[in-house]
Amino acid sequence: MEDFRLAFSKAKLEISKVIVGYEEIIEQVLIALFSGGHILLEGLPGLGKTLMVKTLADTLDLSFSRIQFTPDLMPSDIIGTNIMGQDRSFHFQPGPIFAQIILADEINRATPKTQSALLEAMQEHSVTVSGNLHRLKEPFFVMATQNPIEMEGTYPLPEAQLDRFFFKLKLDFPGRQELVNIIDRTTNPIIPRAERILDGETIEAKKLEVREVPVATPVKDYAVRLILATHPNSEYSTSFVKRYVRYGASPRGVQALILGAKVKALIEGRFNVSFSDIRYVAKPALRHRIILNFEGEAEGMDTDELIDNIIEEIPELENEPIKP
Amino acid sequence: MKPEMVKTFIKIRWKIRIISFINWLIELYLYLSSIYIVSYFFRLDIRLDYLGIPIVLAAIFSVVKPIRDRDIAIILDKDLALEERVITTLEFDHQESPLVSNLIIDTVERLKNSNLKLVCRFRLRKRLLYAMGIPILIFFSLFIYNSIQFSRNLSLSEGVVASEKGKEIISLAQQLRSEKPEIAKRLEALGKGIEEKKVLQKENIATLDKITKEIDKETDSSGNTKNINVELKKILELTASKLDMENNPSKNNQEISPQRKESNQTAEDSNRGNEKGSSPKEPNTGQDNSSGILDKNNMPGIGKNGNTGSSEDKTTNPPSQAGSREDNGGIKDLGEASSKENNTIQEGGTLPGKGERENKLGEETPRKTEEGAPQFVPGIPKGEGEIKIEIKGFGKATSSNIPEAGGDVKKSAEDPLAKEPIPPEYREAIRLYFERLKGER
Repeated sequence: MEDFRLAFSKAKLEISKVIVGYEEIIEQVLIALFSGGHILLEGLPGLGKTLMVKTLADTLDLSFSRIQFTPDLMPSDIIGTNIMGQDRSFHFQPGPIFAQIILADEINRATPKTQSALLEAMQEHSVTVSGNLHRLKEPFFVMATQNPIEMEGTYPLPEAQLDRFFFKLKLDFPGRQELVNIIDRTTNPIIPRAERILDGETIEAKKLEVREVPVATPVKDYAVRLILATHPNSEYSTSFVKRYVRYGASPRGVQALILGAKVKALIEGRFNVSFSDIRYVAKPALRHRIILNFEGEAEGMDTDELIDNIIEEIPELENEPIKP
Repeated sequence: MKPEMVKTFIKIRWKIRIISFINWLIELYLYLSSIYIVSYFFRLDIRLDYLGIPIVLAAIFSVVKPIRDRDIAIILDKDLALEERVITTLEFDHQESPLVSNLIIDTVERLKNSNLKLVCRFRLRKRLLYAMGIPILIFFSLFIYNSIQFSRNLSLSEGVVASEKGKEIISLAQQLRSEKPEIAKRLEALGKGIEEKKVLQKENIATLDKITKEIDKETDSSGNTKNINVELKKILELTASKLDMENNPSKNNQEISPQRKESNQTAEDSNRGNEKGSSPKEPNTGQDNSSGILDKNNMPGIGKNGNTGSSEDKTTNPPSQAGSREDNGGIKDLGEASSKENNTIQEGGTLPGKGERENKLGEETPRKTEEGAPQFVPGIPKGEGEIKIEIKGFGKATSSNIPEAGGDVKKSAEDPLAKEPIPPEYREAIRLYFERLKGER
């Protein structure tokens, strides 16, 4: 466990050298990485989304490719295609998806057809071209970014696509001190660079270690009840959920909760998952999996508020232990 | 499970049982106190031995109730802020994994270093609040009930004693029945009143006790009473009269109220008047009114103020009479009135009495009508026929002073329009418009 904590803290430190602030975001990015999930980063332009992904790629000794999503981007531009070689036979030319860390920049600018080209890759870690299955090299980690305010000429990600992302992280505007730090770090002659400290094998080993973390039945039950509470027709749903939610989180949501909580437990120096770990990962794991209804959209309801409400309403233990 | 953990679990289990025992004990004593409160009010004898029952029951409840390891683990995690380490250790105890082994070591170490006094601290159950409310509620309910039921001047115990004293007075009266039937009768009535109404004052209790003692003195071993001396008789009469006054405050009020007094007086006068003209066998029928004319003021049971069927009247007249008088209070029999034109029968003499009307004025007359039909004594309805009844109110006919709102509204609505000057440039056009309308008609 100490190795894990050390590796984690080192990676975090390296990224923090370049990225100012966003400590929690960096931690959550690494949690997703060690859980084997993908990240959707949402934030205004210029907040360092792309830089963060690039820095992470620099920290990890993994192959990196960046795909700039545009409306005219075709699926074959991502996956790859068969091209005729000099020997007059078709050879598969792998696309940029054949890397270990993918930066899908401004993913919502591409058409749904192109967006869906990522579906198989993200879920199965493989792509199929002309009937041939091509495995992607592990660890495979997609980090997509999207701009929440520019809606013109964008194609919001469909629910199925959104559900593939382990966490959705929101980058808020940096504070006063953080802005000062950004100036200092980026306008000086020496620009800090992250060093490579983790390789693919280490990450894969740590991913297996994470899965061994035991989770007690009451904790599992709590995670399940949180997921059920996001469904408006569930017996656990709160009045807020009943009013504003169309669809709740999928089973992938509870997987994300438990896996994320396991990583959180390890980085906290614990060998087991606690209720607090579940709560910590609840927002990034569930915020993109809850689909608001018309009323929720109209009233500008934020899914984070709903999750807060659910956490507040759902008790840790359904049946309290014996009372003396 | 590690021996250290087992030891901790045993400690916590016993602690839970002790706290549970104390809580149960308090709760059961609260329930028992409710029973004792009820027994106090109803003067039931409940032995104090029963106080031991809660101890036995609390011991049984606290020991019999199963306390699972899971519950203890959750309590430990919660109270020692161990972040679900204990419950996870408990569940994954048999699993062989480096992480689980580390978890067990970590948990045991933390439990060793923890202060177990913080676990499962003594606190009263929330349920005890409700349990506490039960005896309080019962006490105040019975207190209020007794306050309403018994005299306000009495303490609770005295109030309870009242009914017993009533019984004593009745038994005393029964003893005196042969020798002093008059006093016995009054005492019996008094005793019944006290027993039923549960009203008794301190001084009356004392007086009655005195009487009881004196009668007891004069009672020989065979149970026969000796002659009661004059002094004792006086005391009895005085006590009885006092109690009678206290037990029937309504009677006192009747005597005090001048209006009622007047009304009663009138009623009595009218009764007296009726009695003069009526035969002793037919009391208060009203048919033999000396004047023979319906006179409300002279009607039996109807006072000058038009009071009918009051409780006082009922004491002097049979209830059926009182009821029938009320029925006729505002009704005039027009059957009789119409016959007055042909026959000289007066109103009155037909007031409803007790039972069926009697034909006092005779049967069929020998006289015949022009058609040859038999004639009867006028004013006495017999056989089939039409009876007209007119109900007259006491007040005058109402009249409405509401102005004709419709007219006023129309006028007030049209006036401003009529007064509105027509702009000069439109006058000609308007005139032509109306002339055209006239032409079209």
